[in-house]
Amino acid sequence: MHVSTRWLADYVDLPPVVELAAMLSVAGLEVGSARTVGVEPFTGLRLDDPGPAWDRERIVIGRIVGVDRHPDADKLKLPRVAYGNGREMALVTGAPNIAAGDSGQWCVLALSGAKVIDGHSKEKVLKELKPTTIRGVPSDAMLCSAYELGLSEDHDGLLFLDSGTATEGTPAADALGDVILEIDILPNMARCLALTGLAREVAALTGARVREPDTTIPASAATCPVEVVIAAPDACRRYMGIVIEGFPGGVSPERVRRLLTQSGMRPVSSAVDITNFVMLEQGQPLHAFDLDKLEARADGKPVAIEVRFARAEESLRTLDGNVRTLNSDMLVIADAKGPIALAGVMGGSETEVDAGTRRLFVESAQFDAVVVRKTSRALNLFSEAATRYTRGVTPVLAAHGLGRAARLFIERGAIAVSAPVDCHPVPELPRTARYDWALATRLAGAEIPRDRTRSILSALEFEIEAEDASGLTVRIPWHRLDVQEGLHDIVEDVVRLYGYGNLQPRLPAEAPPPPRVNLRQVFEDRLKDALAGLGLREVISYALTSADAERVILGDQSDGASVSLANPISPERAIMRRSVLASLVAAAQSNAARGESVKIFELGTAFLPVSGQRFPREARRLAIALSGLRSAESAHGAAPAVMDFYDLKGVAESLLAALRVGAVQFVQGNHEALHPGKQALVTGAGGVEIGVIGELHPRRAVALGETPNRILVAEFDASVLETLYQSTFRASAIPRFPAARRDLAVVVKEACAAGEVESILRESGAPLLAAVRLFDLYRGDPLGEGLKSLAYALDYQALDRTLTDKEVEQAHTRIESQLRTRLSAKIRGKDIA
Amino acid sequence: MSDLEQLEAQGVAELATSSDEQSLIAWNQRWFGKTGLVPLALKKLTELPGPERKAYGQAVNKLKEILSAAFAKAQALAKERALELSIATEQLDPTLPGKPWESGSLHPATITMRRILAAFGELGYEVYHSREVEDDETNFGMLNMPPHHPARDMWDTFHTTDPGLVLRTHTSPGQIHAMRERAPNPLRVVLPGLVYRYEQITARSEIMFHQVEGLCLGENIGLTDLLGTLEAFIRRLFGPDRKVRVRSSYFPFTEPSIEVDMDCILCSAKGCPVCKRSGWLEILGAGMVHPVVLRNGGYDPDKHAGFAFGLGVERINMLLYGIEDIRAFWSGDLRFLRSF
Repeated sequence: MHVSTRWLADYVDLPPVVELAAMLSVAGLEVGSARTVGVEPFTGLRLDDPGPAWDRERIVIGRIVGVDRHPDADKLKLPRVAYGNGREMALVTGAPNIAAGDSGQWCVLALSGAKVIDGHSKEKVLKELKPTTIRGVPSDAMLCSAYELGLSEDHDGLLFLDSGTATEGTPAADALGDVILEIDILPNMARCLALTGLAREVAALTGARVREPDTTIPASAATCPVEVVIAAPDACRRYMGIVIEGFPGGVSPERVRRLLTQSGMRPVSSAVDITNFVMLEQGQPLHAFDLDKLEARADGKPVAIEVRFARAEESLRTLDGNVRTLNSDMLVIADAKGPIALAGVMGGSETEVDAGTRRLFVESAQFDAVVVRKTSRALNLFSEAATRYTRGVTPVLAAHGLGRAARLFIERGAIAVSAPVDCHPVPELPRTARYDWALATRLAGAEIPRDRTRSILSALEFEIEAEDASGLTVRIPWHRLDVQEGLHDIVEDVVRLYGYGNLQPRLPAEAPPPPRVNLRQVFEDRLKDALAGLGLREVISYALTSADAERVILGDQSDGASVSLANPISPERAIMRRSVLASLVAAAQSNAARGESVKIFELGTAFLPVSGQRFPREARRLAIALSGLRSAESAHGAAPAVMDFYDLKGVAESLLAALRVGAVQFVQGNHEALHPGKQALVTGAGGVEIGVIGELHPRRAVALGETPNRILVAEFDASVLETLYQSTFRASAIPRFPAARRDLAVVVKEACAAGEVESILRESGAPLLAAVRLFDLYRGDPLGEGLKSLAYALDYQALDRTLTDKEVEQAHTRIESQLRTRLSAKIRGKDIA
Repeated sequence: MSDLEQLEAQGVAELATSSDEQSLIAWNQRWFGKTGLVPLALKKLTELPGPERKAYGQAVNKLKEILSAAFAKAQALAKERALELSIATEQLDPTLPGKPWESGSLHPATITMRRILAAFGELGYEVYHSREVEDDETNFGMLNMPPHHPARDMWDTFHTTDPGLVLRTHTSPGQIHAMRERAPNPLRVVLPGLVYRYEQITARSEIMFHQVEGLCLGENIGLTDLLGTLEAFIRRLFGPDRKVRVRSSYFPFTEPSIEVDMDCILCSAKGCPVCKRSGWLEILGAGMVHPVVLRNGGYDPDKHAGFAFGLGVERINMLLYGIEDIRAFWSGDLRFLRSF
């Protein structure tokens, strides 16, 4: 809410503005920023879009003492302006709202050297006034428009002030300057959507007194000619109205228009401005109908209006000119012919107050917050009135709002007001609450002195009705709709005013519950650390994606069921992802396309709808992507290799080893998103599927976008890994006896898988074969077509003794003969060269 | 001078001219090889008559010892000379870049989340996870926001096409899950995770971010316990000298509700654009758990009380690392991720 401190000061004395802002912020009314109008900028608050600061010597209040005709130009006028201490200034102006012969208007005079906004420039820039001569007449000063002063966008003529605004020669900054605070009004502070409510808060904080304007309804012998019926008493707990007769119309005083503008509202006409002014001051939304128009619709019968829900097929043209189709959830004000206003949201254009309106029916009512909220949302129609109703307006306020408005109508020239009509089926009862000392102390965690509590409560207008040993019975002020949950609400108020800074922080004295360890968190930390240790970088992607973006991994399944958003911000973020890998592959592609060497992983959630179940399965998935050079190019040694399937497999093996997942096997896979010849299914003990690794299918990669090298990807089911993860284990001992190394080169057919050779090695070498390492893979002469040579380093070792050459030789020979019989292998150096 | 004495003199002299490794090997071969001069001299032993043999043998052995020692010395000297030469001549350019040896890294959200969880872990809080696709009732209703409650406007919500199912707008629904699982036992949990808001994506606002929520319930937990806990946390995360300011605020699920600020770490509380010129940075929202929420979680508000707090991880990271554009976090861009 934009709050003019100049206006607020009408109701309560204010401390300096920075102090005020800090005080309000701490008390739950956060001041986000401020805007200066005419006054010097200051520090301690964020200032938004400050207008020009008005030179106190050169921008002053003046009074026009006479206006002469320009000798040479019909459009130009020569006003003489008095600006204090007998000083007078003659100048030239072309403003349309001043004529020769005028006098007595109060205005703002800018003397040469002053800086004002350039009215002739398209951009808002400051210009310095210089003495000039216009058509032969010297002019050392100017009279300002509201625009030139930065007061509003009004540039149609000179700004004329209300008489009595200030004396001649007063610096304009003193007379008109302002600081507008931008205050964030949270739902429990709805009472502060009104200046009087805000003034009460300030008063409670500073100890000042609130200056309440007179809000009593003026006495009148004339009964209200408008009949009112509330047909929906749950949605409208009170409906008041009053008839205003003989209103002269016209525009509001300058001060009213200025304060409305500073508060973010547009001045319209004297009548409409009164309703808005009262709403901003009191918090009570009002609506004014043109009574003549209501009577015209009534065809000679008395005007009878009803508060009811709209009927099917009804519609209403609202003040903004749009025709709204209504439904039965929407509350309307209707006469015999149909709806004339959307209750609490906006009036109808047919009964709108206009420049010619002299007779009005002014509504001041309570409408239900939920009903107004639903209507406002359904029609996407938001107004200041709706904002206040949706936060809650008490029925008590209706009388205050109406009384204040009636008095302002009289002040602005209305000839008569009627007595009010007041439909109030169930009047509010005074509400009380119990303030229990012991419970309050428990909640606050500290004892707030009782005297202090009493004085805070009375500052907040909680009346103490009774007191006993255990606590207080207090009457809740009528304007405190937010106080519901008795003690908690009131303790909050007491602590807020006592000051959180006065509470001594402490740590809970109670022993914490027995500690429990979240094993998923422990596992995921280990997993991420292992991958980071392998040189991969962690990525986090949007969980929101699109079916198109997932096609790279999911293929045709991408069109299947997923958690879809009803209100996506864009088609690219319209569903919850089912594939973490799809997100990561996109990140890999965009990095790779820039020429980066990519080694990344993501541990995230895939959202998998389960038929027959309300909630999707939120499955934890690990995705890995590699692409490009193994390490960056450098001046040292040979160029680094481009990563391939075996780099990825190395990462997977190291990861699984770090997690101590046993019995891991890599077997030929058939994932359709992967290159059919370059992929593996990864399984654990008992053949349980852990994940897949492989090269992204070249056709899928094409759809993704160009990359200099192929993308290698892996996806693991993190929840399966978690079950296989062994958090406790025994460390390897340092062997006390040396290992004996023997090398073995085996020649096998091309089709024979290395994995098969290795498993025979391990099986037949047991128990003395301690380690197997493939160190060379060779094809070509002198092996011949279709053959390959696999060279292994074999370590033979026993835990309890040093092996003899004979023992090693026996084991080695056994391995060789097994390879010969089971794979028809040839041993190099023995069977062939 | 006997033959052997002469031989010794010759050996030593030849050795003196053999300064490099190559000539030393040649010398060794010439003198101690299979047909070298020393074995040859030893062979003569057999030609001598019996009585002379002993003395000759001793003399040859002495010759052998002397030449071996001299050879060892010459060899050591040669090694030393070679080493000296290599040290004197090996000079590289220390300003050439090192060989690329890139490390991996964790995402900043992981790094900071771990620090937060560790800080609360020391205070006895257990990590508790709950779902991200949540029902309206748990995300709002049970947190004291019945349908059409105006406070719902404080969270712009992503709705799914399944009516009543939303993307959680905060980690607070996890409070309900944790309470229902543990009621009526005392509870200290931290709930980390992703939350979603219907927003335009800009440099300052995101549709997805990490939150951590904390919940502490017991029989005698008051506001001062909350203040002490949060002060301890802020000082643990941001330094022991941090000043803390508490402001009154509003959340439907806590009452009283507060926001906790610390003095701006970027401008030393002098006032900068990040702290909106106020010198204070908003860090946490918190409050005493609302009785309605306690009841919804299965606790009796007359017997139990407690506090809850929440904070946004990305906001803290933006402060800690001077990140000006929140969109960097989910960009997956290595130029950003390499910072960590």
